[in-house]
Amino acid sequence: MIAGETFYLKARIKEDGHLHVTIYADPADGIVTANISSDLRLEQTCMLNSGDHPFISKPSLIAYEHTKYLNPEEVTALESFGIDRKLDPVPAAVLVRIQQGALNSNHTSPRIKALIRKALQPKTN
Amino acid sequence: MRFHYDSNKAAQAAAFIARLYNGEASLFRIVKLIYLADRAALTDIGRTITGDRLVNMPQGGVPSHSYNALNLEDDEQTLPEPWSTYLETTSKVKFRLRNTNPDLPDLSPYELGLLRNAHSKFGYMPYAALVKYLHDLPEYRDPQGSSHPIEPADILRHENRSEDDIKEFAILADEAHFISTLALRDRWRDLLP
Repeated sequence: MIAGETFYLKARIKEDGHLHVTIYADPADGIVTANISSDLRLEQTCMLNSGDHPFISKPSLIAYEHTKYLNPEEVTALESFGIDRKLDPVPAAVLVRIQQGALNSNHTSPRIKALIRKALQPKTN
Repeated sequence: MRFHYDSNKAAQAAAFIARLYNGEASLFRIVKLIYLADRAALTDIGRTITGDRLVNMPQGGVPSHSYNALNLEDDEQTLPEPWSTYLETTSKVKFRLRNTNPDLPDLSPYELGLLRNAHSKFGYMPYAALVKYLHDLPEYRDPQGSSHPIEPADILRHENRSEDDIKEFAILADEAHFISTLALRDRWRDLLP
């Protein structure tokens, strides 16, 4: 999987399921996913609006309260049978906003923050 | 509504509580403070910190897996993993930090705040008063000497969360449970014909 991908899960309760966005991905480390919510009572660290993604038609946010880390074994399982359908990825600039929001969120654990910091580091060749 | 128990987060929560007690805490205080912090998280954001199954016991609610991990048998002296990474026994019902400043990589600042609040409010409440407080919580039912599961939705209703909120939390919990059990489901698939 790659950072920025969006997908719905094949969870037990499918109707009203949330769109998930992969906010970190590395074959060796695994991935971090968060879901997009229109419940504006949640922490408003990263707001999204129409134009940020075709799925988003009203003010929404990244629900960092429910961010999940998946190890490589879990990522393999997710890819093989856990995804119901994929949608367009979020644009690169929106992904960076979501990643920076994860660093600022009160709900992000140090383990996930360390991964996100790695993703935001300038690439050197 | 079902959550996925995260023993690493539970053990780190216990270690944080022990740190708030200057490095040593009792089984009773650890499980009660985790219960109260889990309950506060559930009411606020629709999931608990540890994902543990909440149950009523004679002295009030507890997170059951955490209670079972810390409640050693007479012939046991060592805690199971991951608890033993953080804590060692000083008696059958007391635990001391192995490292005075443990690394707690899986707990967010929000979750640490809830545990700190539980400690500030209930950490030094006398035993009988804390048991009475837990018995007075609306979800408490006397388990008649045994234990009885607490349905998270009951806590949410008692705390005046709407039925729409409860439905939304159930969906979030189901998605989180699905993600957390992906690898397990994959292994089971291999056993199928």
